Amino acid sequence: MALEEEHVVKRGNAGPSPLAPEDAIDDAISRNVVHFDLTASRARRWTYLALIGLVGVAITVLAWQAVSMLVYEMKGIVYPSPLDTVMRLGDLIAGARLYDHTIAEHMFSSLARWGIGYLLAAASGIVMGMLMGSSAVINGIGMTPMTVLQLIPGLAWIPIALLLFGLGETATIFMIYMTVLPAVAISTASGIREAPPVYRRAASILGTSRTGMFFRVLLPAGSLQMLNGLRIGLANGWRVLIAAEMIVGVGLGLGYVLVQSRWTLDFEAAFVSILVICGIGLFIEKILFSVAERRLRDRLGLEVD
Amino acid sequence: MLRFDNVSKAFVDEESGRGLLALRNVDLSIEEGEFICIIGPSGCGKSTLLNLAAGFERPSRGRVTLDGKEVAGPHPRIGMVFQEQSLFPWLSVLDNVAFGLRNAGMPRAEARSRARDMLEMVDLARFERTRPSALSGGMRQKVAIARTLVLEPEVLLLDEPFGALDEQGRKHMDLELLKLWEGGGRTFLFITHNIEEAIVLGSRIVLMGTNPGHVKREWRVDLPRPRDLFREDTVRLRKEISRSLQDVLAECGCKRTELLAPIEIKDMEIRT
Ligand SMILES: Nc1ncnc2c1ncn2[C@@H]1O[C@H](COP(=O)(O)OP(=O)(O)OP(=O)(O)O)[C@@H](O)[C@H]1O
Ligand SMILES: [Mg+2]
Repeated sequence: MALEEEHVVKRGNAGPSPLAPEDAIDDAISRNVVHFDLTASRARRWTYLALIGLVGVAITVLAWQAVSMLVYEMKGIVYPSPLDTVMRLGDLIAGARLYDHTIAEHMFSSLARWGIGYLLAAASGIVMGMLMGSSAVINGIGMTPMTVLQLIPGLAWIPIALLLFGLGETATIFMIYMTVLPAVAISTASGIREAPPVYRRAASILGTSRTGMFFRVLLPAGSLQMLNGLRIGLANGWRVLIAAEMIVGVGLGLGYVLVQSRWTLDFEAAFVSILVICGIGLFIEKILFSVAERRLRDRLGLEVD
Repeated sequence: MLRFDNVSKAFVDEESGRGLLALRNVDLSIEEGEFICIIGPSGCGKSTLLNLAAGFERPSRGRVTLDGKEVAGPHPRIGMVFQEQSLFPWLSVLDNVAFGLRNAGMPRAEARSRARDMLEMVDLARFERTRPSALSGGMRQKVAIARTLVLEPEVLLLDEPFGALDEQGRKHMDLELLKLWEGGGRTFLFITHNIEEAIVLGSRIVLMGTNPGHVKREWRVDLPRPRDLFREDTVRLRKEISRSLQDVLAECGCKRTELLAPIEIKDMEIRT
């Protein structure tokens, strides 16, 4: 049926964009075609978006530069400028040591801590969220504690972490765990519970068992929200990690560099540490998770935009 | 035989302390192979009636039975096509149709091949790998129908399945649906707002009244198929049903939008 073929809607790359593919549209009109190719204008759109992004970065760097100049003028204090920081970072990457370790060692030790804490929290958060999603009773029991946990600021865990684990590695991981867990558990649970009722009904009249309903219907329906919780948890965890490293006394890590530089008045090192922290955060948030979300949307059959 | 035996349905909201009687004393017997069309004003309990038949809701009073056995919950013997889009967007068209078969424990390969046959029947075999989001509304509803019919239900419940389609698409789907019904000897229970649609499809038309919902009148439609909307006796039936519907609407104070669509032109904007 030709009529139906035309009804198939190709979605995906159109979407409103700041740079509308005007010439592609003009071209389609003049050639009198139905389907046309947007590859060229898409490439332009990406360049455009990248440029816009760069403008944001440039403004930030300029503001930083201005502050550093102003501080020097007015207070006579050397305030590391972007260039100073980048050059110092270069030195460090080239192999210079910072508090007995290379910058890579600091970075990887932070990443490892965070990775362990995050993975543990994500795994148990997903299990907990799934349990809460599967039963109203468990949800009722679990929701209050999880909400309370979410309200506790990451740093408030410090005394508890110290009491439980003393100074060191385990305390940091514990703090990350406690910050990440509620975000993941709550979003997993609500993703499942808020799945459109029509899916539930459709599945039940198609003879779905209880477990089938859960794993083949509710879980996929809620997985996007689950991913959202994982993303929020990731950012929260990263933030609390740095704070924890500053206080809970580990001899290695970006947060340790940050706090140590205060004692040694090596503010450049502090800035380098902040730069690396931001870089990693940005990479994970904008690249890893965007890709993951795109893929998930695609797998879920949602429109990709 | 699907039977509503003196069925009443009340919705109670413990929290606000309010109750609503949606259906009152509904008696309806549906024989095997009938095509029942239910019409009635919005809010008269049509969907509620279908949800009771599907087992999504239990009657507050009375019984809903299929072949003498009480409908205790959703079951593949009774299929349902929903008004809103209900296909699982994360599954391909083929896997959507195979979904119920897999639930019944059929091996994947066999389920898929059966699903493929079913898609063939609704002319959608070409789209088996497609995701539902890439289909038009009418095609999605066809897949939804295929997903239900592949389980060979005895009764198919359709809650305004083509309500979201334009007139052209709806008429096309009506004919497709008719083909499926004529081929199978199955019982169809179909809700619509549209009298013409009911006349084209139904072997019996049930008019429901409102406040609370009840069966107002029934017509057995023995007109020859395919139905010609402009035959004299068809026109007479159309008029009669319209009039009854008008009465029902007058009773509940609803506006009749379909027949007496008021054409008002006010503050016409002229755009240049
Ligand atoms: N789950 C529910 N809880 C409370 N009230 C409900 C519920 N479902 C339906 N009702 C009420 O019951 C009445 C009948 O609703 P129903 O959806 O069956 O009407 P309908 O005839 O299908 O209307 P429409 O043509 O608009 O779809 C309405 O007043 C509705 O508000
Ligand atoms: Mg309804």
